Amino acid sequence: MQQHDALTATGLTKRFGPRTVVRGVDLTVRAGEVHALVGPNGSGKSTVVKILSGFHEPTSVERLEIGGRQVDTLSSARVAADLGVRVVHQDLGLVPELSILENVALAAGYETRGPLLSWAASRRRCAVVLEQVGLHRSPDTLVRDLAVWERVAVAFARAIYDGLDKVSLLILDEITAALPRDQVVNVLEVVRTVKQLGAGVLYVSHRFEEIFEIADWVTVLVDGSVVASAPIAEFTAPDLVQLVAGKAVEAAAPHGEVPLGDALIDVDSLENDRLHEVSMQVRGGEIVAIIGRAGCGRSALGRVLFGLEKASGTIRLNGRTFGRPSVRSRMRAGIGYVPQDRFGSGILPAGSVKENATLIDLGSVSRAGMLSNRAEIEQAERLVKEYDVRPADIDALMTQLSGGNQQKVLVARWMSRPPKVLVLDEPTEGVDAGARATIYRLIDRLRRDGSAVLVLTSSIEEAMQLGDRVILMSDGRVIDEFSGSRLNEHELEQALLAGTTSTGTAS
Amino acid sequence: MTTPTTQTPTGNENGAARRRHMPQPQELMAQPIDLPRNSSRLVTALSKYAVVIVAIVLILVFAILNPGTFLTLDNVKLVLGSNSVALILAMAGLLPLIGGEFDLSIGYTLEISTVITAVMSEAGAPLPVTLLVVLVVGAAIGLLNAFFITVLGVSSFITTLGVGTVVSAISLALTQGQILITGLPQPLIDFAQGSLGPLPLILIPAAVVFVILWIVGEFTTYGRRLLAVGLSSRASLLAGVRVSWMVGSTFVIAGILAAFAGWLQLGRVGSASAGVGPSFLLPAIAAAFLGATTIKAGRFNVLGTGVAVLLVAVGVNGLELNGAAYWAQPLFDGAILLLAVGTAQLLARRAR
Repeated sequence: MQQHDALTATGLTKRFGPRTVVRGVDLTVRAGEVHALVGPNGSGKSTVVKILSGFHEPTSVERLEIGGRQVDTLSSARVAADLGVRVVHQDLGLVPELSILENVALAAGYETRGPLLSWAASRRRCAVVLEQVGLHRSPDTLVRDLAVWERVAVAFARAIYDGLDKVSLLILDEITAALPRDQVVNVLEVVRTVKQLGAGVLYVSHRFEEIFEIADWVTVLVDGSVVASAPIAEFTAPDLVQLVAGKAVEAAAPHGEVPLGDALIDVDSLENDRLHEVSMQVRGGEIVAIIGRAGCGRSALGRVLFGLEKASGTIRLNGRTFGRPSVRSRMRAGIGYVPQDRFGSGILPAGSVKENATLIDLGSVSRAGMLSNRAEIEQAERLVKEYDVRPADIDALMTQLSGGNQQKVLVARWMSRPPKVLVLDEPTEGVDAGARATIYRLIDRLRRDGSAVLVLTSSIEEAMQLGDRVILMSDGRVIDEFSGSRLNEHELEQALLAGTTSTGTAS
Repeated sequence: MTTPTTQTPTGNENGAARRRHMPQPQELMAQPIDLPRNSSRLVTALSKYAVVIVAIVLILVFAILNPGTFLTLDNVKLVLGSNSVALILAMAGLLPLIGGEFDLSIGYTLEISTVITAVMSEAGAPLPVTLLVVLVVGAAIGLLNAFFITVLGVSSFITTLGVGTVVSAISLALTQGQILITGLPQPLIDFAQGSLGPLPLILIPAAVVFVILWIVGEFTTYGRRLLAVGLSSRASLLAGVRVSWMVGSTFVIAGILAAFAGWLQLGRVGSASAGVGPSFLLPAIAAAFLGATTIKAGRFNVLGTGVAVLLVAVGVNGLELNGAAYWAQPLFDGAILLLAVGTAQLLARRAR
């Protein structure tokens, strides 16, 4: 099958009622090629993926060939799978409590001998596949004991378990979005391995760095149409950003232009099992980025500040000290928080945009406990309009929004009564360039209003772009601070590497 | 080879740490019906109002089948009167469900409330005192549930089953296995069985409870926060909602409402015995689940639950008028729940 293109689609169109989500898309993925599909949130990428994996039927398509076979319709996921389409999603669909073998067998079944299943043969076969994806682990290892990138590898192994000759198209849907950035390189290595084995890979991602590293071909989708499709060599990073984000990208405010106020929040020798002697001050009008690798303690710091976790030491806000950790008292005192785990801890998934938008400050849209329908709608609509949430429908369910738009709602909802201190944990993870620009604009606006902002991030780029100061954490400690002339990408990168060589990662 | 696992838009995408591994109401319920815009309006309307439509169809069918009996004033009065207690109990079951928890003890709370009222009345206690006592007992049962669930973190499924069973033992001990029929408070019986013109009197407290819950659910910050907790307790916590307090309060209110329902029930049937709890529990929970498929599909809601109680009431009454036996009620309760929930799920899936 390898002599055929993995996928040829022409004139692929999908309408949902009056809305055309995918318009006449042509897409060709060659065998042994990594074809990146990029575009802003809501550009139709996910719909394309869902069509190819058999979850949506296209409204119309001129020609559709998968693995060289003419396809009339992809009526179900089963049909797509039989044609050799394999999908690995950001949510890998693995059961943490089961072993690698059991997870693979969940989908593929066990090897059998007569009526009985053969553990030995199953294990052997699993080991072979693991070898293929470059994961050197025993099939009996529990998935929960694996590093995140290793789990991605297990999902890959599961996808190609039937043999690579049966796989015509491997779709990787934002698989690195939830990954600590330092493990992305491991996953890319696995992708490269699979590609060298001859699979056609459709790679959906927001992260341009990795696209330049891995992709052979790039197709850019905007508003459901292909705006560019060419070998990666024909693009530069700024081109791609420009294409994807359009005019939405504006640089964040130049640093230092806002006069700094007094120290708003003063953290003194915080100590718990993940933090050691963490002290820092952030002034009003200042954005401090806290950077470090996965497990460095930045998220723990955020949780402690918001009263979700205990720590000894003192936290002073405007000179006032906090007692026991309590989210409500922190919020009342003026601390806001946007968690990293957007889906699990941030949004009410089956709640509407309106319900999510007003939840943190229901008091402002109610009187004596009675909700004012009008005030609530007004507040939600203002938020949607001002921060360009799409679709601009306050009654849409949060799950109908792309990740970037969900994040806009989560950040923007603090703006109705701006907090004195806002802590954001990985605010732009899995978010496209346009939404990122909106979120940066929000952060900048808070700072202009005199708030202190703490951005917890693993991205040097983000730390550079936002931070007036960058604090480096490792192993639960503050190990360095960068500002002024020392605040440059090169120094940060060096320090980040140096600071973590001793600790290593799960791999 | 497998079908790749694509998440539906409403799926639980990350393995957000669930506190416990017991069935959660949201998991057992039809997924929120999140119809894409390509589904026809008809399908949308059908799935949203299926329960309402079935109720209307049932009324029409029975009216045609039983021209002389079904749509008579007496029969309407009977249906409304004999389901007022069920409505209050359904409201009791609904509130914790909105917050994402089960209360399986409400049937037993109803039971012990009838028993306590009967025992106290026989001993000569005045009626208002019996009401006060059972409401306090109901609140205490709710508090006990709330303690285990919010303080110790035990699953509500297990907690309320355990607490309910203990409560049923107390009922048994109080009645000593007898059916209590002597010394019952006549004013209560008169009220619960009486009527004001065409309306049964007992409908009044039921309607009041219903309207209050509707207002609380739709128009108050309490209702909104409770809804948020049910949708995601973790996200609610991070949005500053006092999750434990909210959840705990629903159990206390559920206990009070169930006790009130039991107090009225004594007047309605004129006897008290241990062991009736379970037969009240299922219809109440079923109505809440059935109600979650209509009006506000995908969410436990007060209006939907009211319609569901009415649907079951009409169905059972119609069957009985046509000579169905005493087993018509449970048969109908179970069958209609499966039918309606199944249909809603099917429509939702087809529309995707």
